[in-house]
Amino acid sequence: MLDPELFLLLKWIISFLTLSSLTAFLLAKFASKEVSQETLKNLQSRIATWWMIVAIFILSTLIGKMGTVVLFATISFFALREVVSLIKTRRSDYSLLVFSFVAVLPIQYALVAMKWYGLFAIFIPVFVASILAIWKAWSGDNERFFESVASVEWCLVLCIYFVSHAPALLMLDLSGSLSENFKLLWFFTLVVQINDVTQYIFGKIFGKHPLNKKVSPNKTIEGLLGGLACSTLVGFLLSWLTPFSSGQAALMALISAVAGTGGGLVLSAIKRDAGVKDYGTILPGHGGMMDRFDSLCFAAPVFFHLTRYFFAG
Amino acid sequence: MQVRNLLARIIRLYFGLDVVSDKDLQTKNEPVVFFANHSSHIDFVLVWACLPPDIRANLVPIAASDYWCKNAIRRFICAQFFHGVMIERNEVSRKNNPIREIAKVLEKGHCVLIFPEGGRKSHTVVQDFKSGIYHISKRMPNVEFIPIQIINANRSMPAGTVIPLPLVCSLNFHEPIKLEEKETRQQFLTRARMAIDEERAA
Repeated sequence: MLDPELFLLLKWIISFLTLSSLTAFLLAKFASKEVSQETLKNLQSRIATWWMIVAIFILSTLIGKMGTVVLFATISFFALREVVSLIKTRRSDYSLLVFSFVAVLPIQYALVAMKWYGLFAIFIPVFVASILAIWKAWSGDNERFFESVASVEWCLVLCIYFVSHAPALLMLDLSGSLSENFKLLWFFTLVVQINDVTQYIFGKIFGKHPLNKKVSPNKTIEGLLGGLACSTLVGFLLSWLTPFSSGQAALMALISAVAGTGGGLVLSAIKRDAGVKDYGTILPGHGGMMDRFDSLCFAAPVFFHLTRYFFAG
Repeated sequence: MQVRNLLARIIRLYFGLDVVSDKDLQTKNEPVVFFANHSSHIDFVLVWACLPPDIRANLVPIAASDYWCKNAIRRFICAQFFHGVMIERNEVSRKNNPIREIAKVLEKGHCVLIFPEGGRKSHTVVQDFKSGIYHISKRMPNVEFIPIQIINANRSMPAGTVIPLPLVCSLNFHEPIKLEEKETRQQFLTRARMAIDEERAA
């Protein structure tokens, strides 16, 4: 499954991670007292988790389409449980939630694996949305009806529907073998994550003006601009992984980064409202699954549909 | 033992829980009474899975016989697997005094878990406590009572349902309390209830 271009990319990613592990190690050893120990500890566990994430993504690519679909289904599962645990649900939502975990999640990913685009695109927004609303009305609990139906349905949109657009890149017909699709998925994931990482780094080094104090105290305008610039540049340089020209790749990267930043803000707003700092502890240093894949969640549908409309046969 | 540890691990994974360290528990190898709010069948299992292995092996759940003796499956789960002790809560007589049963377990050196609200309650607010824990503390004044606040279990598996949702639950172990001198029954029960009141979490 590993095509030479993808292999080259992986070598770059691993070298980059090695470099950051080394930097973090040297920082810890020789840092002046200005750098707080806590930030350094967090940096180290963040990088360690990055190694783990990269290893799992490589493994799933090696396994192939099924491996990748299962990987993203797993991400959706953890994201869904984190978000549902945070929001307020009512007793009458219980059976709707069981249905979501047991049926909606596996069916949506099965549709990806089956390459059934038509149903994939409407399953959750049309069928599940109406079934859940009818079910809830049938259950006879009218209290805060609109709110509670909307909460459960939006959980499914965020955590399952949006996220499933990333592995859906594998069902596009890109006039080539499946490895073209895998390269595109890596391109997309990398660009979105590079945006997050460089926003964090630029924010830590140059950050002065907060972007949105109430929702995301750590995001700064300097970080945002640095992140967008870096991900656009990375997109430009990695166009050889994609069916895009260099300019197109840069633009796609920029759009994904903007959508991703928006996702970060939205998922921050949800957790601030619930009064927690992180969605969970499953990814040491980062927090929960949704703390790491918030941006991917919003960028995936945009990237998928732009690619499908303009580049897929 | 192996089976139990594996099961505890699976339960912790499923509900996103961590093992509570001995340090957090501050127990001194003496029998203690854990008490918690009760809203779901998984309450006991969550506590059981989170305790450090030696305390877990030593933990005896106190179960209402009217519920847990009803059929063979319930009896097996409660008595055989978790080594639960059944107490009578409806027709209490001198012979089957539940307090004496619990005291016997503690005297043997085991820890017990009690849900002082009685049965499972669907309220999010912790209900008034039955006076059992007061009588135990009267009888054994040296025993510490460790309050455990269980969060989200009622959403994962509300009373009357059979499939536990994989929601993230959490357990807060609070400072142990003891019956103080001259404390009345009501004062003690209120203090114990306040220790695990939902409001404290915020």
